[in-house]
Amino acid sequence: MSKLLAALLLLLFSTSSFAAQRIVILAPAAADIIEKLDASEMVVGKTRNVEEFPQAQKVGSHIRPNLELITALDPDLLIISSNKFFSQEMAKKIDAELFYYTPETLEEILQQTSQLAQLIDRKDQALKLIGAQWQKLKRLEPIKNKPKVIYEITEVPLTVAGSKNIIADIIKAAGGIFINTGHRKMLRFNPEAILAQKPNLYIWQVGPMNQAPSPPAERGQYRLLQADYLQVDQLQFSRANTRSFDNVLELNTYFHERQN
Amino acid sequence: MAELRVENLQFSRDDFRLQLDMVEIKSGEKVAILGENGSGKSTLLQLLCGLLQGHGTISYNNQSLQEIPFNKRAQLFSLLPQFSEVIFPFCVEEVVLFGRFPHAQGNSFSDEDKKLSEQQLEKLDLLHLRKRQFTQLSGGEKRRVMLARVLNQQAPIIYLDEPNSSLDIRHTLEIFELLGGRNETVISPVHDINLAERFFDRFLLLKHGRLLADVTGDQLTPELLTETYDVQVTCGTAAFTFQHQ
Amino acid sequence: MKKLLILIFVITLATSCLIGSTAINPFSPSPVERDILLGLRLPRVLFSAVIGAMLGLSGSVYQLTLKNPLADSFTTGAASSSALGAVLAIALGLPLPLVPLIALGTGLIGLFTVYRLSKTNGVINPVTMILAGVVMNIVASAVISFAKYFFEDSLSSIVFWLMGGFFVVDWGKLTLCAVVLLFAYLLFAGKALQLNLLALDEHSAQSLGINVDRLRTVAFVVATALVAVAVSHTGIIGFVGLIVPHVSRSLFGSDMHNNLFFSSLLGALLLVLADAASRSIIPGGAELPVGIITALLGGVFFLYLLQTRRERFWHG
Repeated sequence: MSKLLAALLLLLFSTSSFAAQRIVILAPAAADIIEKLDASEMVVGKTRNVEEFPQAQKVGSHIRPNLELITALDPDLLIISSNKFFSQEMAKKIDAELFYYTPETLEEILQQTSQLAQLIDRKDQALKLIGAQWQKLKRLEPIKNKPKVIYEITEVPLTVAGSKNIIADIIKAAGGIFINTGHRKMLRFNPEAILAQKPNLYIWQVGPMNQAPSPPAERGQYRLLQADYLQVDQLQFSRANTRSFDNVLELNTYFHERQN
Repeated sequence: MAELRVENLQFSRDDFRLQLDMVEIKSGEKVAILGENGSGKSTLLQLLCGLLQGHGTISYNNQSLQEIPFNKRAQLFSLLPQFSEVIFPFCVEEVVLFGRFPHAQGNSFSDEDKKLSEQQLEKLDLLHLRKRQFTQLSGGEKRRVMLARVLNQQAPIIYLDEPNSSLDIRHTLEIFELLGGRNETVISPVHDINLAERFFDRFLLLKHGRLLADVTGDQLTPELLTETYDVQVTCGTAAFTFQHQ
Repeated sequence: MKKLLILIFVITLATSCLIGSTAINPFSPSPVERDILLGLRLPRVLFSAVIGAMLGLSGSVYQLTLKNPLADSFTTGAASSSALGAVLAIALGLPLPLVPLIALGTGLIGLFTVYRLSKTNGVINPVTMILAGVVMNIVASAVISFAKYFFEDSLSSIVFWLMGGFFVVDWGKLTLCAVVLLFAYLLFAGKALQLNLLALDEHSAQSLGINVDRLRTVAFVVATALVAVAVSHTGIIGFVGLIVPHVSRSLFGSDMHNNLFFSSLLGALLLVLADAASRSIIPGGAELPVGIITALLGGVFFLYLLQTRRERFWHG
């Protein structure tokens, strides 16, 4: 919490000389933040799976961004998720500020929103946006009977969300217990370990990563599992942005109804 | 009755043609096939074994080769190819036992098969090598093991493609004497004319895929050999002569 | 030696049933433990044994019939063409129960293609077959790479699948694979004597009364079907089919009676061990792809054998 406060204070009192005008978004999760900060018109480039900003040019995917297209757009701010797919060497070729959008918790979403807002000079909007998210969390119902939750990313091979995934913090904030699977974003996992952990709720995502999974309730290996199953939309759940806060609310409501 | 009969045999591959009008070989004959490199000796052998397909008739005991199924062929004739190898490390004993395959009942060799193999090893002076890996033997040793395998097959006709290649003179003599003393028909391309003359009693002389002559020992003249090999052949005393002790 | 090895295998099977992310008390299991043991652990251990035996057996037959110590499911293109189907099915988001079926389908198509290419004048040429298999491998890899590139969302699924592992095991799949294995094993074991003769040169083998071409065709088709079935269920598990036949040849001789048996047994043993390791190396239920472990275990042991008993492997 202190980190967020520090970021907010900085946001209020800093006077930044730099204000980006031309943004290229290579981190799809950040698109929502930029849009909500009223900076849509600044976006000149985006990856192909970003639906917002119809006017922006597509510059490849977040895994394989096209350096030529990006250079041609002459951006002054690049929002990336890591150096895994967009290396330092590539960054050096482009004369633009680099912003790493990598929130792993709800707090970090807000913190990085405020940092981003400074770079594009959208302080007022940021304060409003952060305040609104904060308000959402205040509406949470207390959950007495906290469910143990596991989150399936893909069925074959079985992979689940780890503690570095935003899902973990969403579940915790909503009043559930996230089953600690490992300190990564996603992990290849063993069905028997799931049985042994005895989750009360099994969330399975359906989306581009898990296109046609069979409903877990019908899978033989979970015959013995006494859990509820909840299907969610991958694109809604897996990106860390303001949607994450809505997801907290929705999950919280679900938890609340479930315990009654 | 002729055991092997070849009629109007024709075979061609690229620009090589082999043609044989009529040859009959009787049971127990020892036939050497002579001729220069590329004259068609090995090709003829492969045709006779059914490894190559030509036109014309090849028949064993009046039965056409094509009508004889693979497993029955193995009981009619055995073959030692010019180059015979074993990949993967089988031991000598196992390789010789392979020769009993046409007689094996079911999926394993009988004690009888094993006994016969042992006798075969003994005859060819190979008993001391029986447990050795075939792949580790010298060229001559390999040749003798393969010969043991072929003899172990106990077929009435034995085809040997240059049986003495990579053999020293002692083993060459041993083997040819051994073959000479057996009842089987032996048909064998041989390069050493003197050895052929000494141990075989009938000679098929091939040149450019055609049968130049089909003669017995006393008809094998220097003139005929001169024509076969395009070298001047004269009859004289060799610098060395060899006799098996 | 044979009995000792079988004993070791049985002990390994039993022990690995107790190894995994959850500790199981074999003497007084709780209901959950018993469910895990019987519903998940046991079928998976048995499945890994069956798949290991399939891969070992196919390798043993491949090496002999193709006369090549490097022949295995990769060099013959069987593994990669099966993988191709599975990867495309995953990438296109087809229902998951279809994945093994499609993998089997493309595996058989790959088999047929390689088989046709390597047949000249009605006779199979082992060298052409390896070449055709390697080219098949390259083509399949290219399409797989394309799938990885184009279907980025499925990338992690594809990559994990390609690294191999036992994803979902149930008694039905186990029975299917066990039946396929048993059929193939009995077929090969019944032809062990003839298969031995394939170690000879072609002419010698044929003169001993073997229809070399037919035998080679049957052996190739059945071995490839084994690989296709195995790969379609587990993804690519490398090195078992390549190494295990060499190891058993080096330890128990080249005779196919023994080699078929020991290749199957050692393949099963290796994969049971590797899968037990993949289940338990990372604490907390995360799994390591089993292909990584087979390659490590098998590779190190192979290097050791290569150093110490090289002459018993191969002379060509």
